[in-house]
Amino acid sequence: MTTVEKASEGLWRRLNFFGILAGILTLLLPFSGAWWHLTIGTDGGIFSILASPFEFKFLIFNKQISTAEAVQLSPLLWWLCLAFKLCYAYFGAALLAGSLLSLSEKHAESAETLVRFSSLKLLWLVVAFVVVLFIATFLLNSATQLMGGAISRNFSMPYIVGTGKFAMSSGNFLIYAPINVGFTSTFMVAIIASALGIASRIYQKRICCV
Amino acid sequence: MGVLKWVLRVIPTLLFILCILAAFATHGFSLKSTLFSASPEEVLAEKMLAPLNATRGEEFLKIEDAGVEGDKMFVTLSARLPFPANVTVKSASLYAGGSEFNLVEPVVIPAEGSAILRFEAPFNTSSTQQVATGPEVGKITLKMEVKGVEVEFQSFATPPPTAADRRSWRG
Repeated sequence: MTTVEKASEGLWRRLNFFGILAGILTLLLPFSGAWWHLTIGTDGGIFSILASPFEFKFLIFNKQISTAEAVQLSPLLWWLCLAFKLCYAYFGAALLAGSLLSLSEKHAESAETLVRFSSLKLLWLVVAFVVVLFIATFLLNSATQLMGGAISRNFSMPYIVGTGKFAMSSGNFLIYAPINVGFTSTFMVAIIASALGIASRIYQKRICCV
Repeated sequence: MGVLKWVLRVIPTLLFILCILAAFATHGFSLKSTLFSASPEEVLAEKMLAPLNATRGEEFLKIEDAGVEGDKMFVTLSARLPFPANVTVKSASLYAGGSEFNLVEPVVIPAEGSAILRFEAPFNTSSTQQVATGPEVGKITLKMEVKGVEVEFQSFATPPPTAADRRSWRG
């Protein structure tokens, strides 16, 4: 192997591919749609909630509430979602920059700092999102039980993924509805990006040691 | 490196602070209107359910016709849907002139459209006169299905037929 080939191989080894992929995915995730859905009914349902840390969408008969109406519903929530979007686009950019900078020996230390700072941010968000969903479902189920059928005669909200049922009587109406909750493919992308983030952190340590 | 670390950590914090400030600033620094600019019920009623409100003035069910055919009495109702989903009326019954009328067959009401529901009851001499002159429907029970959601609806009175309705049935 010639000196040039050796140098070229060394250069490729210094490139943090995991970090590049994780950075791109983290950068795109805030703009890729909901992570979790709740649907009342089948075939699109009569009412749906699409949620992620970056957005909340409400649909009635598959008709989406507009952004202006969403802002009106809770301006603070809308602005917080925007903050999350900007922050995670920033973390993605930082991870991407750190992974590319690791090519340069001169900027190796900066690359290490950038990757260490941004590589686990998405993982914590994924974990926090699942925990918040679990707690929200627990509180909703507990509140419904405590009210003893004042709102709903039969309510079982599945924990994070699954199907449940909902029966409610109101005035002249008696309503029985299936509830379906689950993660979307975007959440799977978030998990893959989180795993790549962990891998990028480990690989960055190896690059530094070389 | 210390500066880089510091800058990296400060930027997300600044972004959050700026967004929270913007939320308050755009709503006159009022906690209530920043948390909930409009009540969820208001938004639901006025914006999201606009198509439902548009047809609020019209009755969901309206008596169309009534009479006697052979050995059966019948009542037909027109049902009008204000929302964009098909509704299947699986079973239904109504009381008119002391008789119980049942829906002849399940009916699909198209999205934002209307359909005719035909109810029939065995011939009954005491009820015939009342049915022929325009029935006063006492109680309607409907079992419907819309996008997997089953709805049971009970109405204890429908709008009584007008004089014009009665004349058209006799004619």
